[in-house]
Amino acid sequence: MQTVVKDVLPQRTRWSQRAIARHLCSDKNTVKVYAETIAVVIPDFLKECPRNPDGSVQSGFSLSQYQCWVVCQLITLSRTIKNDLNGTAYRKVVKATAVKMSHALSKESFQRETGSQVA
Amino acid sequence: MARSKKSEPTVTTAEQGMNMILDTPVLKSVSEAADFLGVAEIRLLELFADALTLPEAMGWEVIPQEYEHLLNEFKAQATNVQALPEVPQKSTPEVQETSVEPPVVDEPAEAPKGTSKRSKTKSGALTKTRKSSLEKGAKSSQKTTDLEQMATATLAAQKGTRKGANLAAIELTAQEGAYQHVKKEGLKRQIAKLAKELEDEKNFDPQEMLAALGIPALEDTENELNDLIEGTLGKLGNLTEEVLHNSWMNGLDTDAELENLQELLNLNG
Repeated sequence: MQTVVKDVLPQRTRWSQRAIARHLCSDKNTVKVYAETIAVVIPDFLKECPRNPDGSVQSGFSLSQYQCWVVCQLITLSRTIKNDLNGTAYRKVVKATAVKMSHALSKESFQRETGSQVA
Repeated sequence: MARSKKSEPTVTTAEQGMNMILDTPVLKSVSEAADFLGVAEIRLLELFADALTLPEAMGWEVIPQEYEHLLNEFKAQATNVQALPEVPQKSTPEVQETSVEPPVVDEPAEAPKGTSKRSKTKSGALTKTRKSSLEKGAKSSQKTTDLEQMATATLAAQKGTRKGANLAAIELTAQEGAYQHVKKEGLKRQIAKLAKELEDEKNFDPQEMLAALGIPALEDTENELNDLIEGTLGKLGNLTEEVLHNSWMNGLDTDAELENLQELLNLNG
């Protein structure tokens, strides 16, 4: 049986954290952590985040297509390394990796990879 | 040489090692530094990344000692930035004050002086803000009035329900009182009826009823029966006396006496 979800969901312009969690079959709190604390180290990601007056990222914000792509990439990476790290704090590793590989997770890379022209 | 190098630090661990530990400055965590500055962690990291042009700063969890001095700079910048908006913040209340005093605008008309030009120019500049502030004020006042109306309506409704409840309670009590009264009256009537019946029963004479029906009275029947019984009993008494007398005179002949008795009984039967 084909799942229609995968065909339809990428057409979304905004993604709620709950929708991403459903798409990745993960917990919504996981998506929240990745979107609001880990992925924000990527400058392009942070630029698109709605902010509070004190400069912090708004809680539970909906993500753009690019932001969704970044979060999905990071969660996929964490799933890959989680078993290898065997119980260590893998999220810190993911965060450090995101800092180092921010160019690979930039908006330009997203547009190049997906062929998207999302503003 | 290598041994001597290794042995030297072991000697100094007791004295200098403690000092080294004590002298080692504790690195500030990002959260502590953010609290110190009064900004979000991510904002602080952004400041570091921008100031140092170091993207890796976004991943810091502690502030390196060599960059701690930047915290004070950021603090000073933040205070300066906070000081700057104070001017417009102060200006906006002035605008509000002027907007609050629209009737006072008539005063300059009454006493126009050299400052009138300035005031005119100012009023021209302020009209937009005044309009917006007035609109905002009108909206907020509308909201408050709506809320007040809602609150008064709710209170009135609550009062109404209370009054209704009181009225219902009074009505119920009155109905119950009326019911009790009716019940008492009914009981009284029932008791009176029963009392009358009892009184009637007192006057009831079965002898009269029997006489009216042509049945002899119970006393007559009783007397007749008594006479009959007494007669029979008297004969019996005489016979027993005879039996006793004869038996005494002739000696005891029980068989003959029994036959006599049997005969007597047969006669009575």
